Amino acid sequence: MPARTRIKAVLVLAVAAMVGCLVIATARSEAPSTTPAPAPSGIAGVGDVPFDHTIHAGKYGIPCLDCHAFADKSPVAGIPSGRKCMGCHKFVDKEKPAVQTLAAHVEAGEPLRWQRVFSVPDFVYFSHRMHVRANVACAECHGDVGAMKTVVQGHPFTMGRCMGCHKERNATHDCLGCHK
Amino acid sequence: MKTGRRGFLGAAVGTLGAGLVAGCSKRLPRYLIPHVIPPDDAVPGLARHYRTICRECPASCGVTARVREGRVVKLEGNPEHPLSQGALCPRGQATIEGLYSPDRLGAPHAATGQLGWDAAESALGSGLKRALDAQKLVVVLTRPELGSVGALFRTWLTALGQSPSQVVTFDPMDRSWLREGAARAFGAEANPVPDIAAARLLLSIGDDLVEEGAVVEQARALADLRAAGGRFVYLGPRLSLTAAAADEWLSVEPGSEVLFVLGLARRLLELVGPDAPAGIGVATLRARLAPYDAATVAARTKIGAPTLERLARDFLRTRPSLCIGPGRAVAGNNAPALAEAIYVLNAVAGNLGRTLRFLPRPQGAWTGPSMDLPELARRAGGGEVGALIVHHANPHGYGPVFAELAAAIEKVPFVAAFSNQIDETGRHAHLLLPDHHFLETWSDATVRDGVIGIQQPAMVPLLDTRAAADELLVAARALGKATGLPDGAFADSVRASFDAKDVERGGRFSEAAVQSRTLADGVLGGATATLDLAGPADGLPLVVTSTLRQLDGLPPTSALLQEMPDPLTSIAWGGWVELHPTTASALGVVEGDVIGLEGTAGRTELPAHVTIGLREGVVAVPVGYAIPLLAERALGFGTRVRARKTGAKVSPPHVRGGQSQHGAELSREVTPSRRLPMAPTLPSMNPPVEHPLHRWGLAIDLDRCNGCGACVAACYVENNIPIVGPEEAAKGRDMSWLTIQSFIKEGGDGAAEVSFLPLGCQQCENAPCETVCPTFATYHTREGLNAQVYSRCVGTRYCENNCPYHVRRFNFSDAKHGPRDSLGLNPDVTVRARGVTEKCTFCVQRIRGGEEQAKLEGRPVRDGDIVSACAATCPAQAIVFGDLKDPTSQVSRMAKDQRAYRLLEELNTKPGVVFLARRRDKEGT
Repeated sequence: MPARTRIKAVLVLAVAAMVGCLVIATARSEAPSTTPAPAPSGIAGVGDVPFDHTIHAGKYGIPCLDCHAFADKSPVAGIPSGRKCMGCHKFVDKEKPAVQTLAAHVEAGEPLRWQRVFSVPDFVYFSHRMHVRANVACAECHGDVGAMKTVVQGHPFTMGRCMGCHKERNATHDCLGCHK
Repeated sequence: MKTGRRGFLGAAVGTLGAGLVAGCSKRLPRYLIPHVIPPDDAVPGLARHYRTICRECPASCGVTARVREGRVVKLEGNPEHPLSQGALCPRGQATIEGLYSPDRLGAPHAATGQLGWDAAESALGSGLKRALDAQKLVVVLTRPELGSVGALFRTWLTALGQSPSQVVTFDPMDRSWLREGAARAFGAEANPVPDIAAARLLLSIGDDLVEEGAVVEQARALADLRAAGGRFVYLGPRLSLTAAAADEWLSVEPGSEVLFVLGLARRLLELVGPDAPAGIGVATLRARLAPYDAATVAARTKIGAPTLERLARDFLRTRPSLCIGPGRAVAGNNAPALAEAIYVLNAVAGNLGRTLRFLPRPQGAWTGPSMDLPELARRAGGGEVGALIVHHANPHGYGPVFAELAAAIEKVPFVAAFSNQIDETGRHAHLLLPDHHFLETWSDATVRDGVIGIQQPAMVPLLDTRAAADELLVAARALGKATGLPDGAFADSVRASFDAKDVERGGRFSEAAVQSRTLADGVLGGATATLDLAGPADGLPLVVTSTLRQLDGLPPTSALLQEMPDPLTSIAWGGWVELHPTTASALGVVEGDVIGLEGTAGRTELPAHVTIGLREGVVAVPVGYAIPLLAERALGFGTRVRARKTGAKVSPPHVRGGQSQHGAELSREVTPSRRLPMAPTLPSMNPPVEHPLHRWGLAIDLDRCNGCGACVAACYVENNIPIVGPEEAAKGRDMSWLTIQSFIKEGGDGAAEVSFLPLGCQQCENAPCETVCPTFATYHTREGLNAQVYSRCVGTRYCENNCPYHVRRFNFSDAKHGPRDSLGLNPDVTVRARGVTEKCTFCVQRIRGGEEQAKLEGRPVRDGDIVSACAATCPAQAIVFGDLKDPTSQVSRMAKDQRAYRLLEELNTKPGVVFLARRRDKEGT
């Protein structure tokens, strides 16, 4: 192959590669960025106790703070212990197999393992209690979990979203308000 | 379809990000695991605080442990404990590292290897049974245990049919000469209790208040003395931290301190004439002090007679005065005689019963007879001891100093050691039993009459450890011996002996019943001991220096304490030998030359540090590194060493900057005749900065600061500052946000003077770092902070180069925190990544926490609500944090002080850190 043709071939290949990259990138940027891969929630116990927010929060309308009891007291909302579940399930639906599995775990002293759905990066300080105190409804960030059989993060937890709300409510704009 | 530059970049980053997220997914736990049965009052995400005591040294200060999610993350001083009053020394701050250390012993060990607790318990039982069957002694060798645990040892020995006197205390840093001196002066042993803060003239004879003993209490008292206008004179061969805090540093020919003190006492007695204090036996004293006239003393101490005369007149004029010591730096074999001389000087100055009082007996509750270390060595060596229980004592670690005892221990047929790690004595034990860490178990300590500190667990034991006391009780039960103690855990009985209020307070505190003493008839009747130095006759006297890193006399094992540079020499990691420039040039040695040192029993090699902060003709080595050179039972002054250049050289292991101010007057001083110049008023091209609500600021009183470095250690622990190790530190890559800069210079009369400057981010209003950051990662907040947003920082290091104070640090590698990595980090502070610049944030997490709390309580932030980690721990109470906008806050009041100045004011950076110049009164006006 003469040198000229070789250079031509290399150029063509390079252009093709660039176009390829662009196509992939564009395709990705078109894809809805609001839903990351849905993460299943409510796999409690050692993975064998299903938990359904549509029953607890939806059908029976149990307030969020009943189970996430620290949301108004602490930076973290807290997740219920097996004993907390048994507070109701000692009496309610105790014949259901899932509840019986749950009871067995609690009896055996095994902790529940809840699937993590929501998180902010390590360098962000987020205080649930300050947001609850400012009358920010849980659903504003977490979505209507009462309608979700499997809880998913409905939108990305980006700084832009935080700042949008902070601007609207005239909350702190200082970087150090949230960055630690 | 249109893709803009932003979209393309965003997508590219997104694709990359997806990969990264997958790679980093292990950093966030996938599961959230609640308690099975949650504790009633625990709220996740909020800290709980437990009052307990620190057992890093026998001082046993009160501490408050901050616990997050069941893990102790930080210690502070207990504000109600009389010793600590809210402060804590660097050693106490570094405790966290020991708690989470991977070297901690997690299972019982025997010569055959690791074993289970059942096997260990039966081994302990059978070892004791063999000793008892053979009619041999059972002895307990323990660290100072002045409380329930000490009492339990005696009860236990009694139950085993042994004598309670067989509890032997191992305290290598014990200063027995103070008691022996009291026996000579007063006819009975007693512990001196000096009231340092009450004195207006303090003379320390080599007594390093800042570096040894109950350092937190002593440092505070010394700062109080200076703040009240008192004068402090230090006499000793080396310019220690304590000497640096003095108005005047004197040194005499090593070993002649006793002559100096007696000469001073004689001259003072002449000067007071008929006004001599009653009841000190003036006639006898005058006769016995007669030989120490000024000329004789001057000839033998090599210090001018005018200095002695000036000091004597100082003592005459200034009341109350106080002379303390002798400290380790001057305590040779004549230390009891020197202590006696010091008590006599105090008697002549009228200080007995005023600034110097005594506790009638050794501190603690046990008044009966007790076997001492030489007796134990003799009896164990003679085969009388059948079983030895070692409880947190490590005589083998001290090389020649306890060689006799160590050899005797090896002859005992059964040695069981309770410890937190495998130490040298543990390696010689037949059975090694892991005890709980002191933050994991109940105990108590009577630090002096009236002050009982309660040790309560702040967390559940991390490892499979068991309380030593419980194991001894189990063994007694197995042997069928009744101890009279209830069957349950020993911890329950300790807990039951205090009510809930005491536990909440951290102890039971009342005034100590101190006594006054009068001189005995035989005072100064004994031969005035002359100093005998062991070791080669042609050697140089070896000054053993106490440092806060080595409160137990051993080289530090803590990475944090080693990485923090020694405040006086700025040397981090490893030991050194100090030489005066004259001594160094006689040996042909320059800074960094490796010196071979040879003592009686052994030799060692250390790099040279040439300094004017040491007397000519002596060498000084930090205590832990001096151990191989020392003689039997002399963990202090008392040996000569031969020093020789080896030819090897190490690059000077200094960290950060030199020890000269280059005329910049960074650490300023005022004298009675010299005030600070007015601060310049300079125009600024920057728009004025608004601080609508708060302007956070720090005031550092250099008159109180003694350079101990507690603030540095606290900063490391609070802010998750990584440890870089010796190689990186030598390149100047240490990450400390706060450093103690020490500057040494020659004073007018040839003696060296040291001044300190705790240096962190100055939180400038016109910050040079902010204007050069291309990503706005650093900016000025509306509360006066110079913020650093790590997630915005791309690591250009422009800010670091433009900072006139050199306080910004760049992460050259990913953070290493040593043992704290997995469990002991502060969850309120992020761990910075490689390639990011970081610096002091004024503990922004504490500011945020304080503001949040005030908001929740619906009130404004009060002065004192928010305290930065450095200010909280400062033993000398030199650092104050607060709001400069609030005119009533302490920091505002300090900022208006006549001694207040800001660093490099001529640069017009308008720092938020205010320094208060140090007062120095060299001549005593």
